[in-house]
Amino acid sequence: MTRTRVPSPQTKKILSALLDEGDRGDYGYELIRRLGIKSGTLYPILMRLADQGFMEAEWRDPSPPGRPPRQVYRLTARGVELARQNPPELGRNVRASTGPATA
Amino acid sequence: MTSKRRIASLWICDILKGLLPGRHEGWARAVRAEVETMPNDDEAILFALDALRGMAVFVAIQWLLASPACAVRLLSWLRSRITPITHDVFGIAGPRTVGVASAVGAVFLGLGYLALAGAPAPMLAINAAALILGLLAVALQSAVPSGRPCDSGLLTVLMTSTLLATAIAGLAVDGASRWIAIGPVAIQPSLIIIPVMVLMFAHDHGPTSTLGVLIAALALAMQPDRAMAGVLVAGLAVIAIAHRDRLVLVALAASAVSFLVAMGRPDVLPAVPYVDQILYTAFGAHILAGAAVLGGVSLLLVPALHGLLSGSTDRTMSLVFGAIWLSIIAAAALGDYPTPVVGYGGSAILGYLLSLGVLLRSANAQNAAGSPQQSKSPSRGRDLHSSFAPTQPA
Repeated sequence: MTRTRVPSPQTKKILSALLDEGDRGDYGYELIRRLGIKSGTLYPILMRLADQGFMEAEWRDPSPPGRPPRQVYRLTARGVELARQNPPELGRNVRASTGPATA
Repeated sequence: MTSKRRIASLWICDILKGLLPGRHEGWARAVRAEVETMPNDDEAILFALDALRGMAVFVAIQWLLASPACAVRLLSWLRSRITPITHDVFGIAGPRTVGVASAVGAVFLGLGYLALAGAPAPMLAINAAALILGLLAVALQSAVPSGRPCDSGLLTVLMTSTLLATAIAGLAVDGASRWIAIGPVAIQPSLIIIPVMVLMFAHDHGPTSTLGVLIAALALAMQPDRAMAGVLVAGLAVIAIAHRDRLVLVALAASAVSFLVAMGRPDVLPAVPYVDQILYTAFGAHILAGAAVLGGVSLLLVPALHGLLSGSTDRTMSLVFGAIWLSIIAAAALGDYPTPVVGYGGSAILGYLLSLGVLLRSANAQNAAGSPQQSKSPSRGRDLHSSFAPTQPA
C-alpha cells in the first residue's frame, strides 16, 4: 500500500540529498553527517520511503576495498518525482560543505 | 583491539535485528554496517542507540496501523477479561467499568493534550502502548487467584528492592537516581511500584510487608524523590487512621522520616516539556489542551469517589487509592514532578492501571463476601475492622 502525504521537513531534506546524489546514491552515515539529523530519525524515514517505493537500497562494496559492504540508498523514478514536488523548506541546496558523500 | 563501547554498539545492532520483522531485517544489517565503518566508538554507540529507538517506535506504529484485526482481537479479549461487576447499590456501572473507563478516558485526554501541544509522535505512541500494557495487566490481575498474605509480603519486598536498586544503580540525572533504562525507554519504577505497594499494604500489613515499606522509604530518601515520598506518607496515613496497628505506625513513621530526608536534599531537576508543569502550561498551548489535562487528572480520582459513594469497593482501599493519586497530582502541581497519566510517560499509566487492578481485586473480594452463596451478610466488606467501615445496623 502506498500512501502519499505531505512529507515532513526531515523527509524533504533526505529526498533532496538523495536527489542530488542521483544514481550514485548515498550511505546512511554520510546522510546523517551532511544533514545533521539523528539515526533514529533517518532510518525510519528511509524505511518508509522504501516501503512506499520511493527509494531503493543496494549493498555495495565501499572504496577502498577490504571494508565490509554497506547499504547505499537512491531514489526510484517515483522518488525523484516526489523529491522534485517537495523541495526542502530552507532552499534546495541542503548539501553541506563537506564535499562528496562517498570517498 | 575492539573497545567495550564498540562491542556494545554491535550488540545493540543485534537487538535491533531481533526486534525488526523479517522484511525489515536488512535495515538492522545496514545499521550494523554503518556502525562498523564509523571511526569513533562514542559516535558509534550513540548512532546504534538512536537507530534502535527510532526504528522500534517505527515498527510499533506500523504494527498498530497495519494490524487492525490484531488490535480488535486484543481489545475484545481485554473486554471479555475486564467484565463489569454488576453488584452496585445505585444500579449504575460497576467499579471495573468505572475504573477502566476513567483510565482509558484520562489516557485519551492526555493524548489529545500531547497532540494539541505539538508533542513528538513517539511520545503519543509510548503512552498508548503503556495503556495497552496496563489493561493487559488489569486483566491478568483479575485472572490470578488471591494469594496468601506471605506471598503478598514477599512481592512487596521484591518490588521495593527494585526501588532500592534504582536508587543505588539507576540512571542518575542532576543527583537524582529514579530511573532505569529498558531498551530505548527510561521508566520511573517508583511511579509504578509505590501506588501498588501502598494498596497492597492496606490489605496486608504483616511483618514482611512492613519490611517492604521500610525498604521503599529508604529508597525514596536515597533517590531522592520528594513527590513519591509524600505519596507514601499520604497513603500510609490513611491506612494508619483505618487500622491503628503497631506495624502500620512503624511504616508511617519511617515514611515520614523518608519524606523529611527527601525534602532536605537538593532537587534541581528542571521541568521536562510535556511531562512536568503541564497543569499550568497546557492552557498556553491551546484552551482544549488545558481542558484535556484538567479533565484527565480529575478522571483519575473517579474510581475512588465511585467506590466511596456506591459502596462497591472496600472504603479503606478507595480512600487509600484516592489519597495516592491526589498526592501525585498535588506534587505535579507544586513542583517539577510528572503530571500522571495525561502527561508524557508510561510509568504513571502503568502505575495507575496496576493500582486500579489492586482496588478492583478488593472489590471482587467484597463482592464474593457479599454474594448469597458465600455469605449470609451481603453488606460485609473486607474493612469491617477499619475506622472507615460503614456503620452496621443493629
